[in-house]
Amino acid sequence: MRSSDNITQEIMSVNTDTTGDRRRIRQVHSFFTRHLLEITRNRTALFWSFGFPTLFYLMTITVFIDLDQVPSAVEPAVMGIVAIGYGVFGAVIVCLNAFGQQLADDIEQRRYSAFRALPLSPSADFIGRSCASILMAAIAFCFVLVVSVLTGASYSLSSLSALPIVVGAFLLSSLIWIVLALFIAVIATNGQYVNIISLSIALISYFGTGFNGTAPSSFAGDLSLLNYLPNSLATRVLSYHMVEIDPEPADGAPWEAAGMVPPEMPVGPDYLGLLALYAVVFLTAGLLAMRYSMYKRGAWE
Amino acid sequence: MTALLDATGITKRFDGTGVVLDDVDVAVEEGEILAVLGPNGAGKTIMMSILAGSEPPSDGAVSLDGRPIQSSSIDVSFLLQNTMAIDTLTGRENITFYSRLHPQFTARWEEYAEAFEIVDDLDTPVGEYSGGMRRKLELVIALSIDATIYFLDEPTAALDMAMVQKLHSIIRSLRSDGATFVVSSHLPSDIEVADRLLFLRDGQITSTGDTETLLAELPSVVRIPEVALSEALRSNLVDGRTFDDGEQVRGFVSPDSTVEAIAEASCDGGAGAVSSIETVDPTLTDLFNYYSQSRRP
Repeated sequence: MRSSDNITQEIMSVNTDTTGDRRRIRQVHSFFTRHLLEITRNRTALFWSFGFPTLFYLMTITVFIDLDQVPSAVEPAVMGIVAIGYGVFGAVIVCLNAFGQQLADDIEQRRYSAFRALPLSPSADFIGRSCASILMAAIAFCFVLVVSVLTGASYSLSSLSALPIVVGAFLLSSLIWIVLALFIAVIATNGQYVNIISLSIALISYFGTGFNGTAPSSFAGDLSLLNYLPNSLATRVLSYHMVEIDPEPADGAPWEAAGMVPPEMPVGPDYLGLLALYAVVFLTAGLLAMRYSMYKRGAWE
Repeated sequence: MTALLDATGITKRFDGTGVVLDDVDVAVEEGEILAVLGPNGAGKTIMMSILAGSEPPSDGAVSLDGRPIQSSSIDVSFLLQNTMAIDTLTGRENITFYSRLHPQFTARWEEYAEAFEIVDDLDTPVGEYSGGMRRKLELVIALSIDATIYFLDEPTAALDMAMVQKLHSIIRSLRSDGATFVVSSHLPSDIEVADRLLFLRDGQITSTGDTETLLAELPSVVRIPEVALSEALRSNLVDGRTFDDGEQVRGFVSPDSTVEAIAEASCDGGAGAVSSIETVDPTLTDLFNYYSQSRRP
């Protein structure tokens, strides 16, 4: 990875500056790099986040969905929506499984006992790990999309302003799963348990919410819930802004033709606001858990 | 003289195991090397964790240079046994990771990696390291931090004697530059490096002092053939305990007994081994055994 000289040069050049912000940035960088290296070496997590969603996407468009029944004008869009659903599933796996497993490993190995004696910022720890997870989640998401394009899916941003919405929705939903993973790790404190629990949650949330809200007809509950549950809401927001549906008049309204409506598509700012609210609540809970539970800071200080 | 590290009334209770540290007071002078010694389960690791600011005590307080220890972490380096090294990263990646976490991390790591002979293994994943290799890597990381005080928990466990001596040499060298050390161990060999010893048993301090003073206070040590052991003989030994010494055992003469009484007890037992019972000069192992396992808090 790095030569001895490089490590030493970095130490010599930056460790003379011990101001709080600079120190925190280096700590974020440290956790980010470490977490990224560990994810890329975790074959199980890579399979579940890259291999499984891609395989299931390919099986879905070849076996599970009869594309002959889909109006040809919306077929590329439908394939895109299916791919977004699986892509989000892959991202959820990275956030839940990879993040949670590594954290549980640190807890199990009593590494936080060593961390607590370092001048470490709990938020730097959390942000560094989270950024690495979100980056890998984005790569896993894009991987499925690239495969889908090769099989005929098409994407089109609804407008230029849709780009920050797509990025924001993805970030917010990833954050929710990361914080959930943090709580699972804190409670389970064992990598194997975290693995089982997180995969179970990812699978249940995916299949239990009509493929992350991309196939409402297979959702058994009140359909409007799909616009409120975090995973299906994020996926439907992403679908709306990343896929353009332009059916023949005879095929009916666009999103009905793609099988996404009802319920209505979550297009208003209130849905984005809800997603942001989820993220703020989860982020606050995550930072507090990191500070009080992992670093035992607070009243004791 | 004001202590650099001052811990008073340290108590630690856990729900499952009860009290593991009971009202312990520790003061460490600047530039001192304090060895915390005791058998496994004596409470050394939890005491080190509390002193280093990693674990909050149930009662009591710890201060470093007059400030609460938990707000002094920039001046602390803490090696906690088998916790630091990350299996999925190489040795070099581990060093990089920790070098970015502590602003006082120095380029000394290269010198120490060479001293502990792990340079050739730095690009190997730590998961493939032996126990001794892991310990050396953790030592490289902990000692490369330019700290005021170092807390080293069982640093010599899994190290061979040559490496133990190298570690002692590094500790002495850093101390000559003004550093202070608290080193926990269950190995008598670590007594050699310490200015002062603190013995812990069942969560309480049994004794503290420099090696010479504690050796001088040691009861007479007798070496007894194992065949001569009897209940009557044991009653003349401190705590009735003996310690293996090849085909013989060693014990400490009880304050209300004598070597002659022990020899007599040996005859009464019918072993006929009076001539083999002898008083011997105490070793560091005797010192360790007496204060950590025979003497009551």
